[in-house]
Amino acid sequence: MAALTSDGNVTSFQKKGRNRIPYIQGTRQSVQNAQILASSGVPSLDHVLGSGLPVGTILLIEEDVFGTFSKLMLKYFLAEGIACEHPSFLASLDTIPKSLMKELPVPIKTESSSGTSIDSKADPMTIAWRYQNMRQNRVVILYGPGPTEDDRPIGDFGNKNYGYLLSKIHQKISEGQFRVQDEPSKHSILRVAIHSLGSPMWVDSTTDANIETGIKRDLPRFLLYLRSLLRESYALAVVTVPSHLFQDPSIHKLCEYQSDMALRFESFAGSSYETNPVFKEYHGLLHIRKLGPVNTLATHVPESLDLAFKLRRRKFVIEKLHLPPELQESAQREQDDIASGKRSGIGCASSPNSKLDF
Amino acid sequence: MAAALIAALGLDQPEAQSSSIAVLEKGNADSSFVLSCFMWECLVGRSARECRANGLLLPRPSESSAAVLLVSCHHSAAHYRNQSLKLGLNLTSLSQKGLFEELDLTKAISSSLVKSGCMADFINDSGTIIVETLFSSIRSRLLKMKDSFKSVCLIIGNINDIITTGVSTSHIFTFINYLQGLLAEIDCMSLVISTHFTDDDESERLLGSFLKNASDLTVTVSGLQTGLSKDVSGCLNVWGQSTPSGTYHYRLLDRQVKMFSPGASSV
Repeated sequence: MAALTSDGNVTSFQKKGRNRIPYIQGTRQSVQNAQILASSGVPSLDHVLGSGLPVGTILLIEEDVFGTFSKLMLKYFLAEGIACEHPSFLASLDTIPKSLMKELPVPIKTESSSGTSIDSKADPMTIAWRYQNMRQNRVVILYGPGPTEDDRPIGDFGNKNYGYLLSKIHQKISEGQFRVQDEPSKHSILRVAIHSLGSPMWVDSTTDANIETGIKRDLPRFLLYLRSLLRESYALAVVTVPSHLFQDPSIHKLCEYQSDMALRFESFAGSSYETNPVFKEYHGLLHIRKLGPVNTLATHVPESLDLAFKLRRRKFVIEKLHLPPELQESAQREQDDIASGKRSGIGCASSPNSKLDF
Repeated sequence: MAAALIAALGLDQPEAQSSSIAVLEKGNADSSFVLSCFMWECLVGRSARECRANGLLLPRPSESSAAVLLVSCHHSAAHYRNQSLKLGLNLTSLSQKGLFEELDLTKAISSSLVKSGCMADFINDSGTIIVETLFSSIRSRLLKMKDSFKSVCLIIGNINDIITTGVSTSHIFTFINYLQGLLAEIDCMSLVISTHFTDDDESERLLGSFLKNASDLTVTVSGLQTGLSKDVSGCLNVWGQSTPSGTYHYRLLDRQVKMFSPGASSV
């Protein structure tokens, strides 16, 4: 079908269809592949991952030993969603989801942009994380232990907990009209945060004779099914996994394979690095395990793989690992001085104890 | 473009006889670009060489093009369509001509779990693939394509994901054996199967070894042992009966796959 120009002439040049990518608040389009990107809540992590998390993908976080920083990442992810008015879904069997939501970080607002900060306006106390200052029109869906009577597990899992969780996520996707074929009045994205998936709290002792075998069977399958659901919807997921608890190394490798991006947090807490002066500015190391291609040929390659993170009073920062400058003389240098002093006694210089030394 | 990779595998030679190709991806490397390159070779690569020989610049599908059936288990079909578009191949327009067909298992799994859309017959309600029905579906599609085109190519991406859905390893071996049988049944057919391979998982290790044993040409894609690099995306190992074995480094650019010998990335 030909198009008509303003003067009535027929031309064969026409724009094919309308732009099928809707505008969603708090997202941006990738320049490379027109993929919709959403922020993880930590700008420095977005920079490492290539401008953000692509919608329809899974970011897998392998937890640090105490799970402190991986949980913090989830909080930032959820807080970013609330700030951008994205509906969020939080699932955890290890902690009470409501208590986790009470510790979300508030957005940092500068004096110049807002006149007065939120802290001085609402409450004179300076508390880093507060839930009460969050926007009132938030939509947060929580998933705790114990399915309701209406829940029916989906997927072929030995452990029904995974089936119930998947069913709940699917229910929220269809209720919120997040599927690709849906046409809601206002498009948004669903942020799915799953805390400590595969931890001992997820084990179904009635069905799993061997716990590790059950996890190895169900966890990669859950991620495969979740990825299939997310690919067909405007949703993205951040899943934390306590990989240090798995004795079988193949479990976390299969989980990494089934996810689109994978990170591992290594905290210095409780390790010898905690007191090491070399790492005194940081709280841990960040290992990039996988950055898979999504709808593109070339993947993003970060500037450096030597990444470390530190938790400041009001900010979580990921940056390139820098060793501190050498300001004090080390033991090696002292030894060198002594050795050089001994050698110098042979030459024209005086001995180390000589008063003529300067 | 994909010509560099195809040349490295020796598939651009007229006497190339690799009808069964295995692609193994090790660790966290991704081999989807290799499959896209194979699609490029089947659909326009051969005709591009003919065009170049005749002094034409733009490659177009011709009589020498092979029809492609893609079965994607890990990545979505949209991923392969976008990747091929970067290589200068519009799969959407080729599918309208009947040269390209796709079976998106991720989409089928999603539909079966939520019980919406047209449910595929090769998947049950709980998201497990039924390999017997899948084979019948693949065979009927290939036979239909063979009626219209001289040669056909079946490409299966990440077959190990079928095991993850709950199919036993022995069933997968039988499924692959049946697919190998199609090579004898359908003239001028080629088969490309990719799988993820790790030594830690017994079923993946067995599947990788089985595929390597059953194929004429094996391409192993792995990451760099030293981590990530801006100049080198990964390592590609070629091992085959009629192809000279070798190790290459590759670099994935926005619209091109560059191949070079290890240590020659800056050349």
